[in-house]
Amino acid sequence: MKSASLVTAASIILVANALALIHSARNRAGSPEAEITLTNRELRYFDQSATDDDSGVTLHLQWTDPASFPVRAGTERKQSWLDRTKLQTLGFDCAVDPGNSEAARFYERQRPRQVFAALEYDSAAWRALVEEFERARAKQQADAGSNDSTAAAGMSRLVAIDADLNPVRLRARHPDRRTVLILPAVIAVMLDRWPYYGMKPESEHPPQIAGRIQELPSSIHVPRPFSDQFRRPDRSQPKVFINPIYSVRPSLA
Amino acid sequence: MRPQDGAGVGNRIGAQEAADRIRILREELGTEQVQAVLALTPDQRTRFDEWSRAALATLAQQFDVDTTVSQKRVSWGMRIASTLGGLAICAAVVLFFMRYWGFLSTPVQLAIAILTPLAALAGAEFAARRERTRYFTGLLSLVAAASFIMNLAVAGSVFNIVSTERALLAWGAFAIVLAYRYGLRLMLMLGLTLLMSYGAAAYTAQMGYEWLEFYDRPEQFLLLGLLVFALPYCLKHTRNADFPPVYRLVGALTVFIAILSLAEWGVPSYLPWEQVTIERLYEFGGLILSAGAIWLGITRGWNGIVNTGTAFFTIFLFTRLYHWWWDWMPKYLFFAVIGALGIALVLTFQRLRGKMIHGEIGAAA
Repeated sequence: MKSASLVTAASIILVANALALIHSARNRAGSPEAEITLTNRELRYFDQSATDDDSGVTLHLQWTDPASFPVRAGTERKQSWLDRTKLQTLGFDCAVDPGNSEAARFYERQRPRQVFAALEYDSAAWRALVEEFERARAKQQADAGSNDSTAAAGMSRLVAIDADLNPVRLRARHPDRRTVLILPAVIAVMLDRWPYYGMKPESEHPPQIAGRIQELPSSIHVPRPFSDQFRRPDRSQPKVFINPIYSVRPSLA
Repeated sequence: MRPQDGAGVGNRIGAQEAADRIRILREELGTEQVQAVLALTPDQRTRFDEWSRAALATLAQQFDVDTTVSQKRVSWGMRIASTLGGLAICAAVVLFFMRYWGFLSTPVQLAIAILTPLAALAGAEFAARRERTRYFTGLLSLVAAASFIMNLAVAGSVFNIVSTERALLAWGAFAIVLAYRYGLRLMLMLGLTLLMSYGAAAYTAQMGYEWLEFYDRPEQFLLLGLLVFALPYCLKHTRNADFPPVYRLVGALTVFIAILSLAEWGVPSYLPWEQVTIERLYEFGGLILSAGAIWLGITRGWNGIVNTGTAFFTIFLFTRLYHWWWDWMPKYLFFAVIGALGIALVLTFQRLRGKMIHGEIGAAA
């Protein structure tokens, strides 16, 4: 048939779109996997309408990784939940001892893995981080050092607490759908040389195998009419988010 | 060949080659050297001129080929202008959509995103039915491909779908279909690149890694590049006779860039050895493979492969010399040695060329 390739080209466009629509419809069918009300601390809107050519409204998911919480620099190192044992269950090869001279290269060579992460909102994990921060701040102030007292106040209360290769298993461990989100995540392994990367190993602070969440699907498109609310001129955000400016209830499939 | 025999050439590439041969023959017959050994009678000359003019006119009419050197130059200009114009229109379409899509409802956003590549495809088909040179067809095909990329990106964004490597498969397949329908080499290059990326991304995802890290282990591209290079042996291109060189060029470039990244840029490898060992292995592998590409290109008459092989042989050789000598040799001496090596290479190629000329003269005798 002379126009077979033309029909094929048009079909590729239509079939690809149909698959996207079916995927989306399946995602939206049934009850949501999780439904949590988040505020502008967890879903940030970077208004660039004056300089950007993109008129779409996108919210960016912010989360707090306990391993990189800023208070850590002023306190003793604590082992993150994303430790050697957890990393092994996620498929990473942690056979080389962190004290080995080859360890840095061995862990650098390992590629980030696709897993599922559990993020808990405004939970005991978050409160523990804040308390730890407050203690460190008090200590620093006592030592006559100044500190940004609002650093924790502006941070996302969505804290990464667990990960697994299987989302069903992860949900079974964290069944509360109003406080825990299960999201696909990219986790990387590294040799953690406390307090900063590149420091020579010390006997007091031996290097550790640690993981970090490298990426989460963090962009959420806001459709009309909800997006109109974000374009209001009075929607400018203060630098520090103490009181909620807006709240969003995304339904996750 | 009768003037009307232009129809027997089959495709535009064959027609252009036939037109080039006739044009060169006309020019050569007009020179004093040829006339000294092949003197045509006035009657023969007149009949040849009439035949060649008619043959060129027929080819030009049937296939819109270039019959003079000036026309060829203009055609190149048109090719470059249509490619640049296509790219500019792609950018305009995407930026225009981004500028206003936030003010549209979701169904309208989606409808525009789907209809734009379909409209560009219809435009390409319309142009292809009205022109034989494919300038506007190529331009609109490029717009269709860019619109389709934007289409799936918008659908993914609107419905907050987690990104997947399968989009690369759809885009690659679309570009390949357009390439074969309209005989567009640029679309074939785009399609092959997208499909190779899909192959690497699918394997990466299958192994449990993030698919976007597909470029992280270039060895995947070594295999894919070799596969693309070998494809013309399996696929017969009677209609698009100019496609096999594109397959070979894309395959060769993929293989050489993968080797170069492993040898020189410190990119991680699947091999479990020391970094230095892996780099040396790929450096020498690159030298041997590029020399092999030059040999293969010469024996098969593949100009693109000869040029690609020569370029990468030079890069691999000079980077190896840099690693050996840069630190301990005075800089002026290093460049003097490089210059001497360049002269040695020219002399080697000159000798090789001389042998080929003598061989051809001997075969003709």
